[in-house]
Amino acid sequence: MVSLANAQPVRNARSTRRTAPAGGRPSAAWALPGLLFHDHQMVQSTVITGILLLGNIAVQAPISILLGVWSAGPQRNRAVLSAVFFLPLLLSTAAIAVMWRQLLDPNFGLPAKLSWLFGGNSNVLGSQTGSIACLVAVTSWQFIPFHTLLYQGAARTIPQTLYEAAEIDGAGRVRQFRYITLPQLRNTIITSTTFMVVGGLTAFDIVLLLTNGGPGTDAAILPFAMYQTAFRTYDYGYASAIAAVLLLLATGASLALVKASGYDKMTGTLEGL
Amino acid sequence: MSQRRANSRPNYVAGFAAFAWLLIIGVPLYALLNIAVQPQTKYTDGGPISIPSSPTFQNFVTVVHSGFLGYLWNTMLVAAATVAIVLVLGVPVSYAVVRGRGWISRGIFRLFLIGLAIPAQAVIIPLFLLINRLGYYDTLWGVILPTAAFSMPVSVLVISGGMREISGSLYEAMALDGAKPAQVLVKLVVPLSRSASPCSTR
Repeated sequence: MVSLANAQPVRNARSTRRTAPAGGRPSAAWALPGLLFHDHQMVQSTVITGILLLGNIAVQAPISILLGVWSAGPQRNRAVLSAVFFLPLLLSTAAIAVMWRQLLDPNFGLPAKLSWLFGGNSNVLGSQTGSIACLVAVTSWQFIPFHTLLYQGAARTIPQTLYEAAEIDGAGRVRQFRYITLPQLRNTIITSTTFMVVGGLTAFDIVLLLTNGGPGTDAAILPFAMYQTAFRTYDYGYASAIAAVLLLLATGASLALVKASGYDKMTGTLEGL
Repeated sequence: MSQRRANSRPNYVAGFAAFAWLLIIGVPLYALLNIAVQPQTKYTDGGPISIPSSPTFQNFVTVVHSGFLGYLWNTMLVAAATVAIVLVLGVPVSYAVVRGRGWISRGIFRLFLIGLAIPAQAVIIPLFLLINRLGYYDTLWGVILPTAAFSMPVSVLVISGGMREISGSLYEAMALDGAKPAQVLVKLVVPLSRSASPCSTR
């Protein structure tokens, strides 16, 4: 590491050797997290990370809550079907990415064969909107089973007496779900949302394997940008700065979630029953 | 609890939605199998969801002959050791986090939340140096220890989520009977939080 006193000459010496990467990224000697926000590519990556995060939560949370509650029922067909639903958990991210690349291939994949479903545009990964939508879809496909498992376990611990009481009071299925199941799942919703937020801020493998940050750098989320900086341009200082910012963001988000919801008081939802 | 709504009328809307989800889960998996049983030239003709015209197991034979069984054995060793480490450490940690009322247990819970937020690839270089220094380079332990460490935060969060639903009166009953914390853990907490532990064996 260079000290601050001789940082300037070192930077000049290095900048003649280096080819400056696209986007006007500052040199490694000035790799301070603060400078991240003067870097065009990083600002764009941050925005895309946020969009991806919100998209993932919006898609995954409702589906996994409904599936989890559904699969917690005692019916035999539900048990069989939910065993099938958990299959994606057995595949690694690499396998899932390869599989979806095949499926979404513009020439041989589903968009070419079922063009009516994709509006005649067979190159779904070719636009920014398309590739972000695909990333959300594939991540959801991969992680909904995990969150479903969480909700299934939680829904099974809801006491039957609550539903019986509601039934006597004349509450239908929807109201039982709204006023008993959802409040009882509160802690699990917080846990699962924390996983989604943190997972969204750390996952880069699916981006690398599915779109390689593309088209161009349009879907390069922050963790992916960090990986690129460290292992493609070998700029460890700058990559570490990105990692530090990510760590701050993710820790801040999870602590805020836990704090705001009172989750860390470690009280169950059954207290006072 | 097992008789939940079993005798009420069937939920057709949910059944239809579940069938739709089955398609979403099933089609990619079918495509995966479909590609696996076809030679490459045939696959590009038919596309991912066609019915294979001349299925072959040649691909699987190739896989087995290229040292697959060795990889499988390694994977199983790594998985078993990782799950063992995570359960042996994660269950007591979650117990302490849920039952502890002091600042230490709260601090430890926060620490695990921070651990959750660390992207593995961000610490890959110091991790490599550490493993190298420990002399575990090129051994299975070099895979097992980091994997276990990185799955600890998730496990603690999931297992403690299950444990906190154990009602306080059960703890009181055990305390009245003179059970020590270790006995409470083995006889009460572990049996009752079994539903949460499969999640952590991911």
